[in-house]
Amino acid sequence: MSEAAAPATDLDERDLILRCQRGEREAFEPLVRHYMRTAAGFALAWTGSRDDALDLSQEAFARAFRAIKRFDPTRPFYPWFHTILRNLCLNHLGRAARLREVPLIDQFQHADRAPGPDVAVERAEMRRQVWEGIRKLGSRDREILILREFQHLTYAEIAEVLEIPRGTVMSRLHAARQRLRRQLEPLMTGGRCDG
Amino acid sequence: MAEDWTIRISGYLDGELEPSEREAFEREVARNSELARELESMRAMREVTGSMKLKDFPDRVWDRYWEGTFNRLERRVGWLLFSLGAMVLLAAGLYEMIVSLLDGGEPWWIKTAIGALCGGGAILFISVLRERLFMRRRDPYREIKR
Repeated sequence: MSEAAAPATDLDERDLILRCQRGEREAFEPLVRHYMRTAAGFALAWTGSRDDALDLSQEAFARAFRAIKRFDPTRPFYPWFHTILRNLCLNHLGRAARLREVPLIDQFQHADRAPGPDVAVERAEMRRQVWEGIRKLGSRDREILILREFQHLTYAEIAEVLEIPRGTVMSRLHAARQRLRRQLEPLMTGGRCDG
Repeated sequence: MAEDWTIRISGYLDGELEPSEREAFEREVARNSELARELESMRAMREVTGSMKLKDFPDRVWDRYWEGTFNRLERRVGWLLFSLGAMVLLAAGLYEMIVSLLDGGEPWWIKTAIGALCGGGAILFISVLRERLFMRRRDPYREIKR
């Protein structure tokens, strides 16, 4: 299971949620600390703005705490929380209308350091094109790509989060990748994809 | 039938196929050149996206993150109490003001203006309240599963 959405088992997630349901706010802190990076990362990839990402993810945690009495503690916390966060992100972008208004400044970095200035420039252009390709996708494609490519959730975790069968994850992810590939055609045919 | 194999490309690249599925897929790739091309094209794109990660937030952001979330929880209670108190005081003040003005023998046009002011305020309040209630019925968070 990926670290990103793995339940806070070492913290006994269920016990923490039961305490939250009794109104103990301090029991919510370990949960927030465990999932805050995943939540803010998703919101960042969705909105393209760091300020908005922090604002939306914190608001999602606040809303989750307010609604936690209605949550079934036998279920994992993150998929339920993700629904709140996703709805907030969608509302923030005004549903489909403003999806394409995500800032053009890419929010990616390369996993390793560029060996020289030429490569750095080339990589910056590559990141810009990938970001541009992702922001042109519909919300469904964008969400599943973010969860898999940048949050490294397993198919089982994505299935849990999106409440779809594992087989559907595979087919939906493939369709999303095909559409992204079409967006990245100039980059792929330019021979820069191996740099 | 080739379409079924194409869908498995993502599962293959992500290491999400069962061993038997994986072997069957590799056999199919070996004999199906179109599928092999598609696999390579998808692998190349995945290498591009796989070489990137989301920009990290500075550590100080995480130090203050819980504080920011906690403040939101606290502020909401504060705002609710503040709003409730303000509404009660405002209503009481308006009532006292209207009663004292109407008893004071003011000219008819002053009384009419006060009436218009209060009537307009009431209409605006009801309108906003109705809008909020309507929006609440369509609030996506009401659909959140428990």
